[in-house]
Amino acid sequence: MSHDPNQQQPHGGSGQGHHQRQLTNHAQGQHIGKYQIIKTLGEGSFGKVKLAYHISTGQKVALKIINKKVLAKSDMQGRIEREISYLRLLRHPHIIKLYDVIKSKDEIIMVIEYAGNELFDYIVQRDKMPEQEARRFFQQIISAVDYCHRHKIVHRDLKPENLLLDEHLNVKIADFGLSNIMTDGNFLKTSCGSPNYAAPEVISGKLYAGPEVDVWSSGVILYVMLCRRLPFDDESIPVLFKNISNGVYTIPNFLSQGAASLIKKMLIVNPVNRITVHEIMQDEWFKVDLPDYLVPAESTHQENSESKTEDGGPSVPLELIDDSLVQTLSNTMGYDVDEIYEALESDEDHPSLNEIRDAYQLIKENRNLINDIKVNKQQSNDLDTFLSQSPPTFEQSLHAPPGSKNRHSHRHSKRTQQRTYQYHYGNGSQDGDSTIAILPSSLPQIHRANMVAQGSQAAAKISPLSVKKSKTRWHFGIRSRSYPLDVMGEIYIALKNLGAEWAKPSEEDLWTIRVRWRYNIDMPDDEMKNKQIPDLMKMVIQLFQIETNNYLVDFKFDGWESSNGVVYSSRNDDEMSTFSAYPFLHLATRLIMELAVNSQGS
Amino acid sequence: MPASSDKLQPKDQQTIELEQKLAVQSIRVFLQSKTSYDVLPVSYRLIVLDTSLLVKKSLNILLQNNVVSAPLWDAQTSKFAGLLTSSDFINVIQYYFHNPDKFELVDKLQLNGLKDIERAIGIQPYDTRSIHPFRPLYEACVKMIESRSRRIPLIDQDEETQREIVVSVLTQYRILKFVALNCKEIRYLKRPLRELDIISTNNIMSCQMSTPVIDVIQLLTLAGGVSSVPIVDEQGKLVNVYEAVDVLGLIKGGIYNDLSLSVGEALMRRSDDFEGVFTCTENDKLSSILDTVRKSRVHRFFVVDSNGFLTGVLTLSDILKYILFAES
Amino acid sequence: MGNLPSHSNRPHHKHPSTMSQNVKDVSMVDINEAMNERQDDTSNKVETPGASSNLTQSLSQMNIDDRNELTPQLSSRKSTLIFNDDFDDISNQHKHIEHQNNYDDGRIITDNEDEDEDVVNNIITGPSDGSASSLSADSPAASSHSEDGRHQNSAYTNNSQEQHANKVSGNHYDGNVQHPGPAINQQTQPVPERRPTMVPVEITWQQGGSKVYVTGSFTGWRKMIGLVPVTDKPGVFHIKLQLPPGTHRFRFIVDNELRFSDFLPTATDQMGNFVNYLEIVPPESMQMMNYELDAQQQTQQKQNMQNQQLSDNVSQSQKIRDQTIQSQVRRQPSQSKDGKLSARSQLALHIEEDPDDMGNGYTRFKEEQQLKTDYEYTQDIPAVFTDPSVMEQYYLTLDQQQNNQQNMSWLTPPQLPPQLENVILNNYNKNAEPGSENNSGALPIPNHVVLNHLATSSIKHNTLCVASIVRYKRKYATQILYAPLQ
Repeated sequence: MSHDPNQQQPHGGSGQGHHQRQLTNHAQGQHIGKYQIIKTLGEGSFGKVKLAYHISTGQKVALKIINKKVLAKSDMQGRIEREISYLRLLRHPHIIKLYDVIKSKDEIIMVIEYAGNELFDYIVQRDKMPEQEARRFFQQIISAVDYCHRHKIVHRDLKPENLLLDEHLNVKIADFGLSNIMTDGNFLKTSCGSPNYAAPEVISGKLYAGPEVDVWSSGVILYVMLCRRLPFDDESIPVLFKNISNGVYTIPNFLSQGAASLIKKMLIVNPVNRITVHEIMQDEWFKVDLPDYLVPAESTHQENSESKTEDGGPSVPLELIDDSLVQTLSNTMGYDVDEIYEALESDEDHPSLNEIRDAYQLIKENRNLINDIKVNKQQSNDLDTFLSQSPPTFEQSLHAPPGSKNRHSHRHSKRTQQRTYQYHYGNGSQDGDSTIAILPSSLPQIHRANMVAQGSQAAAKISPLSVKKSKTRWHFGIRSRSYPLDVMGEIYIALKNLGAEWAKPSEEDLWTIRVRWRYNIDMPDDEMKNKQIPDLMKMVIQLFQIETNNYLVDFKFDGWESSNGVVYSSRNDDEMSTFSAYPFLHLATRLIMELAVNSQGS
Repeated sequence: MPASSDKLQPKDQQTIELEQKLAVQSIRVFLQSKTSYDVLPVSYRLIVLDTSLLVKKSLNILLQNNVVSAPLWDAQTSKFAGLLTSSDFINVIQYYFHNPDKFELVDKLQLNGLKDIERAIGIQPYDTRSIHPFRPLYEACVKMIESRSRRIPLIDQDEETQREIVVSVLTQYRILKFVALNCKEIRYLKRPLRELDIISTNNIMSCQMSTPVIDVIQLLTLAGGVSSVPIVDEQGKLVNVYEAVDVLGLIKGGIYNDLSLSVGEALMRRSDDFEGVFTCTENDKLSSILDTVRKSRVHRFFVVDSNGFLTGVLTLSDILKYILFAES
Repeated sequence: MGNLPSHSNRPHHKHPSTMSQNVKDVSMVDINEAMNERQDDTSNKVETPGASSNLTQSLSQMNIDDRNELTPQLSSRKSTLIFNDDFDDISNQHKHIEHQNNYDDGRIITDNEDEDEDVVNNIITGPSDGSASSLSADSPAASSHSEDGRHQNSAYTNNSQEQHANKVSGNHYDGNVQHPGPAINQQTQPVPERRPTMVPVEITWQQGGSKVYVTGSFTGWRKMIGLVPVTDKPGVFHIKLQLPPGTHRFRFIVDNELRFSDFLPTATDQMGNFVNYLEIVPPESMQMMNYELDAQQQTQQKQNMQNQQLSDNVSQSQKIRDQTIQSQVRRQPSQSKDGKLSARSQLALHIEEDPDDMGNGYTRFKEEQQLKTDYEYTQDIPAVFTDPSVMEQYYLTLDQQQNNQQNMSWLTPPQLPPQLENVILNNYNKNAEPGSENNSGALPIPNHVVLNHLATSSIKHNTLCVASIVRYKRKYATQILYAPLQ
């Protein structure tokens, strides 16, 4: 529910509302708590949104007044509470600030930072937005979305209507009503947000991890800002859904190549291949005049630090080699010119080549440094209207949700893995005075030849140990081709035989079993009791459909409980403290064995 | 940007020694300021074997996963039960060799039976001291050197459930590689090895190609934790090396009839991708030694003279001892 | 993966109820409001759509509890749980085996949206007419798209819709169009030039070297600032910088390689790289704390380790909703140019000081902790899985639901999410070429949704091998267990 529902007056009222100097009659003079009402901004689905100012500071705020009775009736209770709990936590220059929440006997009032305009209006009322301006908004949106994901919050309803603009045209993400928390091992499902901005997996009601749906919506928003129309828009709903599910849209060619390629990567149907927020931040088009305060910390120096942990100096990026730099390098350092070119062209990992590359890199960066200082004397401007930079919650303790990072670093680590494999046959390192070498006679082929030469008959009999690399193929859970009901039946029987119990299933989650299983280890009971070691392991078994007639039984560890009633799943329900998986793996093997035995038996 | 100064004019002996001393001290500070947890990759795997597994099965598992050791987990007590390493298999071979009639027992031996084998052949049990992942790396190195073992399990405890967590197993190789990758000071370790009293030269046991492999295995158990036996020809020239991990290939699949082979024949069991034995001379510098450690999986260097005669061995623990304790 | 098979009579995925008939005019109402979400997505488990219908009550009326023991004939059914995966493999080919059962008409369902195909028709650049696909007013594609601003926005009620429609109706996009826009673009003054007040900070490097630079978050990790050698102290360099308040990460380049100082607090980022960091607090609170950066440096080195441990030991499980986060977060309002707090932060500070009870019946809203849903555990198997008559009923509802198109997605198991199709362990084996085996056992970083799930591999010479990816502090351990099949 955006906080700027429709208005009696034209919405265009600017942030300062200066063209309504005088208090219009219907602005109730009364005030709520410390806030003096100025006027009603609009009517949401639960109550009015009023413009007011905080009496002691004179600052404008928006009061979202929610009628408790209407709220209770409409079962949106959860949504409002969630919005309150998340917004209170988030503090980011581009996320609307929830200052306070006040309640009276029949109203809940959310005191929200006032942002006069909506990005939607800004787009609609102007001609096509120049690319720099769209990029600036996009950079602000992505930095706020990344911040949410770092706090494990997925917005799920990103659209221009929920992106407000303050008087400095800074984007403020609003309306966290549909957002949700990402927890380890759990998927999200509720399909929400308007279809034009919703990802294929959301509109088809599938399960999703979280961050990738915000990436899709941001992609649509970028498209709307640049092309001033929706990528997926059609009168007939089935056609709209078909276009979204197949990712069918047109890229107008007035778009720059950088913008087009980024949009294409964001609107990829398969969530696993879709670009991640982290990768967006590395995208060349995205990084153009990115203000410093938006540059995320660790991701940027990924490149050279990663090469530091893996092998020699960073290889020179592909752009053409600057001859003047090569010249300065050769006269200052004494390398001859073609040696430098040879070092720069090859990316072979080799100490002396790395050294030249490092030197070249340094001179290049220094030259940029000197140019920069000459060119813009004063620092690039910074907007002072922020409450603060993203709050300095202790960086170390705050771990970024891996979800948003993993594909990038996944590819990255794959690349690094590739690089680590280019280990050179260490036949003596290059610097002149090393006499480290491989003993030739110790090489298997040469050794075998020597043995044959000495006439050993055994040579023919003994073959080298060719251990076929374990091509163990890993899958999640166990697969089955029989009917879903039968599969569940078998699992229930196995659980019953093993003495485990399960929560009474409700109608909706027919295919989920919440198991609780006593994990008895022969430790003397008193030691167990006084040491408060939880003895009931909780597990969630879920049946998934891979394709028709092909199902997968998924097992997930769900924490511990203690038979004396203390719930140990974790101090909080969504975050498992660090634990050993082996008890879970042990019980899972016993369950699988029971299933295997039953299946042979029947 | 001048390249490092030593490029331009040869430094005199005195500055080389000073730079080496400073470099070693700064590496030591590095080891003290980092923890074992820092050495772990951000996402890594850990293979653990249930103690009720058969010994011969666990052997195949090690070979299949290309690892030479694995922590053991006792399902009954839900506790960590030590480390399975090549020395366990050596003990089993010893036992079988001395009790050939016990093949049945050996074949059906479970991992939790390894303790009895140790008692039977009178070996004092393998020291499975562990360390908390957040203790300084320096402490982990000291513990490994004291327990004369090349690896140390990292054990943590989950506060809530008081259950043990086997986080990983840290090896001397990975620590030295971590140092080689992160400490550029190794560039200043330019003193030749002979000056550093780092090479162990006394009573290096060696054998000939024709020596029966069982005798070589005997040598591996005697000399207190030595992990390889060099093979020299008649004049004493280094030809090859039999390593403790080669035993895994020898009794793959639980067949023990290769024990009668000579060590040369046994070496033909080695898989073709064996990288080869690394040699060096006493004029080599620690900088190039550590650079080789960074680039290849090398666990020891055999020191030979100019015409290939074996004069000593430089193991990873020798290097580690030097970094930890020397020059102070 | 979105396989929408057309016409097999087995239950298949129609658009879940949320999308079907009850979405009247999509532009008016977004999906979630259309679906009277009864049970919103709770945070812990896979939530399920709330669409309920009377049919489910009938199924649950079949009281399951009175079935005491299991009917014998159950065990006669042949189970097909697959324990060896030699023949089929989900990820690379979708082999469809005809299902030998009279329910299914045996037709092979082609999966027309195989995942690698969808990249192809994922992007069609420009309409087929080959002409520049720019949205010139006359190009068919443009006009068919509704440009009358009929964007979907839940916030706007009906009457404001027309207002926008006429405002935007102008459908000429060529570059030189004059601005139809009303007031909005008058106030877009140029963004004012104001910088948050900078705090003077001294950064020192005292670990030798001849040429020392520093780069970090304050230079966007791109530019490097040279440090000045301190006259009487060899090997010590320093620089005085003006930095905005907040956390700054940086590293030193000493004789052209990247170093971190051991005398400044270090931290590791997710990739496990070490960086130094400094917390800059705004001046007035700095006087309060009156710690002088250099004096603190000597103790820094010892602190280094505790910081490291403290930061990592701060248990990952610190509850996100934990109210204490509010108090812990240091108040670091950014200053506007003339030293006073920015409007937004001033307001925030004042509001915080307002008392809970704000007079005339208004008090501060404190939201209560939702208590954990505790389940009632049983050992009775739901009848639908055991009692053939109930099963019969299930299949009837299934077919009935299928032919009259109204959809109950809970009737069939949910679709397997793509993240659960591939285990990171597979990439490990694949790219571990024999020659240069990845000795550090490093694996790709897993997606958070796969954590704590069980991974299995086929049972070979009766040893079972299972694994689970677990979060350990800020790293991920894939714990593998080999166990014998008794």
